[in-house]
Amino acid sequence: MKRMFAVVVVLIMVLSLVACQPIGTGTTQTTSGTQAPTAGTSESQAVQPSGKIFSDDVELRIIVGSHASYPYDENWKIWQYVKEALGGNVIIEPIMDSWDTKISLLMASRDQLPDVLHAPNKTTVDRYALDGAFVSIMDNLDKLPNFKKWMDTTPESEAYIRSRVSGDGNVYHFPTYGLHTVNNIRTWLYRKDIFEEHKLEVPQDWNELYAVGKKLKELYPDSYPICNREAMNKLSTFGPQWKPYMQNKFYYDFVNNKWSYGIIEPEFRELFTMYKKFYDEGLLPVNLMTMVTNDWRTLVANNQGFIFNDYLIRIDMFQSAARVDNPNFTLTALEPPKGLTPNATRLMPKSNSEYTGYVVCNTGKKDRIANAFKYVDWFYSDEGKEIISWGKEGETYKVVDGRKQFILDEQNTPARNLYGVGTYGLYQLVDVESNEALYTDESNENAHRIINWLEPQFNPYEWLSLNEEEVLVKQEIEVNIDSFVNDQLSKFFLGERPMSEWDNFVQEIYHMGLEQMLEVYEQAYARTLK
Amino acid sequence: MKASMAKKSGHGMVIPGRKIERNNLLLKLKDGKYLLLMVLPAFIYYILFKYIPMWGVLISFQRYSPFKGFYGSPWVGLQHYQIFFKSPFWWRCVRNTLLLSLYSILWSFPAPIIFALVLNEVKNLRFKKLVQTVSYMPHFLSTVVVVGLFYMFLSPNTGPVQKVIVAMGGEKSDLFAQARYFRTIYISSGIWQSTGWGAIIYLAALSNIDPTLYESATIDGASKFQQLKYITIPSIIPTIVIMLLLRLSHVLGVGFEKAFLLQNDANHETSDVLETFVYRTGISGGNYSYGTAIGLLTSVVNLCFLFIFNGISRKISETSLW
Repeated sequence: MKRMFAVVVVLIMVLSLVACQPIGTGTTQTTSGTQAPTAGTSESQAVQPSGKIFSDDVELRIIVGSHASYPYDENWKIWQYVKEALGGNVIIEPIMDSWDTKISLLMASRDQLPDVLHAPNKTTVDRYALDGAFVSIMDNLDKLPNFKKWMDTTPESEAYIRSRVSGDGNVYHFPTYGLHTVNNIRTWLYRKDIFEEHKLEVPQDWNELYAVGKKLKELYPDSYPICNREAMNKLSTFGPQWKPYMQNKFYYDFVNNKWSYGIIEPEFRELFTMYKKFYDEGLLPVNLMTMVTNDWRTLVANNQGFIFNDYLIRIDMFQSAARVDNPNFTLTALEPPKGLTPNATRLMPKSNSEYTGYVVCNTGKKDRIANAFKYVDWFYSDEGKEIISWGKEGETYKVVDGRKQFILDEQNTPARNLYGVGTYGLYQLVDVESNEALYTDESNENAHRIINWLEPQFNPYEWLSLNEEEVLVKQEIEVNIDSFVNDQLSKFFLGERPMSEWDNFVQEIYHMGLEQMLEVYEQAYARTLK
Repeated sequence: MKASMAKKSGHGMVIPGRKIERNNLLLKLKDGKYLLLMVLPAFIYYILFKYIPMWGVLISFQRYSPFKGFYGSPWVGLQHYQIFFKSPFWWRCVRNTLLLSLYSILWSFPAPIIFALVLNEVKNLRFKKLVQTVSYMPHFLSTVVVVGLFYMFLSPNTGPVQKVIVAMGGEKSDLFAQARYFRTIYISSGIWQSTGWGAIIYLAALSNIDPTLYESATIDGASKFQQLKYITIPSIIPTIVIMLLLRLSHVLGVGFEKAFLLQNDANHETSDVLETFVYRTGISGGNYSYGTAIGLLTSVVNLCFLFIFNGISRKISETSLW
């Protein structure tokens, strides 16, 4: 009797297993990421009788990110204009936070894929492109008349597209063009009003930075004069000030033409020692390692931090709030202070924030993919560019003295937060003037100075794509090195490991397979240059 | 009422006369069909949500790619397990998980028992109710909120705790960045949050003790302490053992949320546990197979622990889960 019951139970389990196979097992509908779906091409350029791109029965799911400083709002006018112009049923699904995790969960099953994804960085694209998650752009140029026109008429397009190549040699990530990225760059900023009040000299090198920090600490004992956040991440921005192109991760040394890992450089040790001295003497926030952004904002807003390295857009953010009580409150960009090494510079790494853009997902359905391409192509059209850059005249912008200006509300809410201009999913081809109009003149003036402080080359680490085997080596080696280094840097920084052990630490990194990882980057980089 | 029941079970009463001893499964099923019907939803739940997903553990032996699907992904044998044991962090993760679990059991397990015993002695009913209600409130806060509260209280810039430390002559410091405080913060916040709620089950067990036992003990001249030692504690021992066994069955599962929220680069030395490691490499890193491999490993070890402790408990205390 027991046996029979067992048999019944086993049977039920087996049956249910068969009935509920994991999703995505169907082999018949697999379209390789690189192949062009053929159907739907004939109608792809056709415009609906209504003048819209899609007929009413078309449904498209678009996933976009959301920035903490201008979170997605479904009432944004720009999105409404976009939807009006496109027709059909365009559904925007914002991912409000934890982008990497949520994308990873989404990518775990093909059935959940949206039609189009707006990837805020190339890492996201590269990670899933090799799995076949996206559809190649170059194989589908026939569906992209506007994009093709942009390619043919823009001389820089070739360079833009080259930086978008994924590990298998295909391009999946649509390039963004016309964005004034300097506003998103991290730079040294200082409180000009406080410096003038106490007649302090603007620091030219790191020794002067230290000295002025000490002075401010004396004047304001409760403050953290050099008020940085984000733990050890900032060392990346300081790298070039001590050695050209140096980062706190893998980087390409354009001076010596080879790949390297910042942490093992003697110059990095000097930078780190200096930064630790700042911390030990109370110039940096005591909870630098764990401070959340809100905590940091409170410090800066309450005159407890005077020099820091952060996004340039912080100028507008802090000034607009602080000037209500203190009209003198002025944040200004500070030319990077020179490091204390023989080959020090006064430069900063070039920002990578241009690496956003749409990707078409490989949903496996030809008509869906064709519509997805139509969607993205629209953003390269004149109509698309005009709508996402400015919106509609009289509603979102007005023309004053021949210059377009955004119409703001009574509270002077920035156009970004008010209409969604320049937010994720709404920049592909942008009118540069529109981007500048998002910031105050003061901020733009600073931006124009900052351009001169950037290194000429991007760190290729930001865009270099690895192939499948190289990704495996990275997963085995680089992930471990990174975790190890992060932990150890914190220990050195907090004094839990003496600096005398630094050389051992560098050796430990080598033992974890650093050479092999560097070879991988050399190899992948050489392949891209071909 | 009685008659109708007899009628219903009358069916069973005929069975001996029918002389069916071996193949009476069907009859038994028919007999208990209403009871079985009630079990059915739970049964389906377990099949659907606990047994079928087990199929998925197979991807830990593959290089799984969602777009190639389960059948298209290549098999790689024990590769992911090897990578884990080759990683410099596997021992640290296991050690942290075990120690955190052990310390949690050591400190947080007795807390609700002691609390229940103390509360049991309170004679003022109103006060007792009030204390009980207040004490189990924190249970309803989500972990994120609790961690947020602790962050605020302990923040070196704005937190009141640091102000007290400074007032007493101490120095401001970042408690969250120091590996040695991680376990203390983790466990003490846990005690604060769960003691009241955990005491409910013990209070229920306490209220089941026959009051006549206390009466006769008082007549025999037993002191309060003797009553506690010879009546109260022995009466709730079975509950304690069952709770302990259930707790031990996830020695390697310390709960992901809180460890993750309290974690930063500076305290990884003590805060990196298996679950956060799985999250970082498996989910955030998009390496599903690797994450699954470590997850499976954890479950197997937990199962072993459960068997071992249950066996020990059955031998020495006669209380066990099965």
